[in-house]
Amino acid sequence: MDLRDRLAEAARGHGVPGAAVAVWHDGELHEAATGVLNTVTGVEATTDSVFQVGSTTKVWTAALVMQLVADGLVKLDKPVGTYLPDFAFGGVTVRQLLSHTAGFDGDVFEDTGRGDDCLEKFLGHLGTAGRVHEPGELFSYCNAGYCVLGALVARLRGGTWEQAVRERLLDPLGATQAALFGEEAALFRVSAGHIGPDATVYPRWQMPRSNGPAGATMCLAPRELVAFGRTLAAGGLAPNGKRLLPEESVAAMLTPQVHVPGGGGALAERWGLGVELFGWGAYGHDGGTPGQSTYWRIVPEADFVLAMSGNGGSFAGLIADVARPVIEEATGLTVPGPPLPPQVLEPVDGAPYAGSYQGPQLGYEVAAAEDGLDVTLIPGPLMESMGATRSTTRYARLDGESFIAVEAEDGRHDVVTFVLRDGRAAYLHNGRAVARV
Amino acid sequence: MAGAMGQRLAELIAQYEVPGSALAYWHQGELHEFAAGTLNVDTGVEATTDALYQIGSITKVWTATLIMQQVEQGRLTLDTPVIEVLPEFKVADPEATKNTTIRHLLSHTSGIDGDQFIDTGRGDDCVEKYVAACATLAQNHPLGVTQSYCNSGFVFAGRVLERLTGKRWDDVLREGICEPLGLTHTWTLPEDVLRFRAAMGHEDGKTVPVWGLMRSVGPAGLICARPADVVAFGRAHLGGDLLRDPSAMWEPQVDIPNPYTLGKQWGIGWILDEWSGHRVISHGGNTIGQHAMLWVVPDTGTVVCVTANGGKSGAFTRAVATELFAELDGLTVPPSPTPPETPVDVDVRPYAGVYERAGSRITLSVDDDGGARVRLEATGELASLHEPQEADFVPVEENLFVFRPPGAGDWLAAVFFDLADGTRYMHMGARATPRIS
Repeated sequence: MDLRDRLAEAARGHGVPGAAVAVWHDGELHEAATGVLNTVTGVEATTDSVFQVGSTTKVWTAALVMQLVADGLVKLDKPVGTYLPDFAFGGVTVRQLLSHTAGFDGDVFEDTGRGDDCLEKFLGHLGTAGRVHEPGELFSYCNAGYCVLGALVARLRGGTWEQAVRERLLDPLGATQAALFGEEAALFRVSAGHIGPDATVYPRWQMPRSNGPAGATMCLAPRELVAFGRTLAAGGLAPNGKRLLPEESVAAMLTPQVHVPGGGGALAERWGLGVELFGWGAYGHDGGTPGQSTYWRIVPEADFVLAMSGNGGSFAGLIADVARPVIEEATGLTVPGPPLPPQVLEPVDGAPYAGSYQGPQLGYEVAAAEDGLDVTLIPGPLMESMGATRSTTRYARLDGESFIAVEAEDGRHDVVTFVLRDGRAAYLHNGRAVARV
Repeated sequence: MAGAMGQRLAELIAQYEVPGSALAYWHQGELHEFAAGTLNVDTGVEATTDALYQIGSITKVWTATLIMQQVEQGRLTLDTPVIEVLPEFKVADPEATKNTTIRHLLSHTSGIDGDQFIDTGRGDDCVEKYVAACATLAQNHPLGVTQSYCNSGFVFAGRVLERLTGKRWDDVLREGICEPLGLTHTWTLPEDVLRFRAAMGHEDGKTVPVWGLMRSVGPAGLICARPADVVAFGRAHLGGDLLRDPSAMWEPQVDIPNPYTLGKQWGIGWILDEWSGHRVISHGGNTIGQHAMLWVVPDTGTVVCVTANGGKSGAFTRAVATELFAELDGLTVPPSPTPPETPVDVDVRPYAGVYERAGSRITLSVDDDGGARVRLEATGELASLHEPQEADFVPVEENLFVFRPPGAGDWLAAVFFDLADGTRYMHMGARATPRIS
């Protein structure tokens, strides 16, 4: 079955309004698109269409930072405050921001406006962000850290983060199907996000510019992510022969920096400088904005890159039915699927885990239960504003200190992992570390 | 023609090389909507009646309406000096700084250079910054003595609204007009426009390099709308939905020195004309490769809006109006002047010279055998977007000439007149331009 039929069938089956995929394999680019970009307008998705690529943007921001390092303007292990004296957590290093180990609240999505001063204002706003863990202590996914890195790029390059992305990455890469602003996206067929079971068009097309460097604003056709992936696989040399990054910079990005507690499920087992490093032999990143999702994997050994975007429905279904089988057939590797709860539940000693955990954006109550743990999510104001409510879920032991929700929600079983200190859980980890109180 | 308009619109866009167009009109209690062609020749997305076009300066009537709402609420009068509301208001001429009134702004009689397209960024402070950047703006003519089209005046009016309401112009528009009229397809920012089909401008059959104008000129021309929403706005001026007395905006404020182009007089925001003995109120708009027209005939209640995203768009919309108004209301659209069949004997030399105002230089030269050429150049920030144009300059009678720039469908009229101080002016394209050498 060819790529187009496969994508079309999977999108139909999983309620995805529109999707596009690009695959580099055997020295050739294969592309397919299906469905519509927006269920209200009915404009058809094409391989030229641009989708919001969400947090895959973090790898672009990381590349801009590595260019600063290569140019001698930034040292990875210097405190960020050396370069941004007005940054509230100035003691953390550039490396810690790149590897999500800085330890301040990463889920700050303050909208500081459309102006070129948005990142400067965002930096000022971070003075109110909460502390989650000690710098360098452990991995905790940090969006706001990438906004700080964007501000670093903007200030040291003397322009905006968008100018740097455009002039230092997109243009040399020869990327044409790329937009960083709405007024740029208006040149293309452009995807809108769809949410909920009825795939309703999300009322706000774009997230705030202040979160751009973390993934709020960039729109790409999948082929441009493939070109960037090929660039990383080639040690920084773009397919058109232009050098975006020195080889040693890319090598540093791909060098494991930190282990991800409970990694191997929704997130990779390890993180490099901006890049997710998957144990099965690939690297890349995932991305999501309200109602849009992107999956991006590079398999360097096989000269293989895949980028896929969708705009609603079950993107996990699209990964299962398109991305994973295509990667497996092309590379011979086995791509693990999302974890499932064990068939037989075993008794759990809840004592090390039971207690209260509180982060800046949410809290948990964990209690011992029959054959597992009862985990109660207590959403903070931001999560509540997005529809989250207090709820208790039964988790069974998955592996080690990782526990998996017995029941699936939206087609997936949530996983939480406890980080133990002296035999007792110090953090509940869901991708972000949430400290015990 | 009315019934067959769908077919006719397709024929007319082909004839005038317009990539895509939409037409909506209200006639005898019914709304009619048509669309033809493509929104963007690069993407090939089909034009529909729901697609949003940049309606450009038609926006000025919306901004004027918002001011009139404030006038009706007693917050200011048409004769309130701008400086009373905006103490920081300053242009080069002290007399204009002190005595320019809201009425001058809304009737294009302030004489302030109007074509300052200053980009003050994407932020919510862009209008405020624009006003601050106008302190050195010169006069096209002394305050109040004649009419010259003035974009900057409408940005000042937008800032007056922001000051009176404490809100962004975009929000004043939304709350004052869009929400009360239930306009779902009328937006100002690209990130809102992108939830819909959106037209791209074209020049010489190709998409223009940038989608839209800088945000700072929003109150003078940044609304994007589908024609049906613009028709609803026009209809609201025949009733009481927006203003207690909308006809106050049709009161003639000034005679247009060149009555052959847009109309014979200016009201408040509206251009006033008379076709077959009936009052017609109208406004047009031009942005980067996009054009729109709105006509309202109060006597018959007919309201028409037509949009075009390139080609010989001015001649196209004139052709649509000519056919449609003859059919609907039996009205004759006055033809624009054309070269006389028998060349007339007018000495061109007294008119020759360089005419200049901010953003534009017009050079009228006479060759040895008495023939004349006109050269039009954009200067300032828009210079890079427009190539200089040259054309033969053909006398029709004393003080009236016509010319046809390359690629234009219609002949354009230029009228010469002298102010009391003896300065010679050329009035063309709704602007009065003084001779400087």
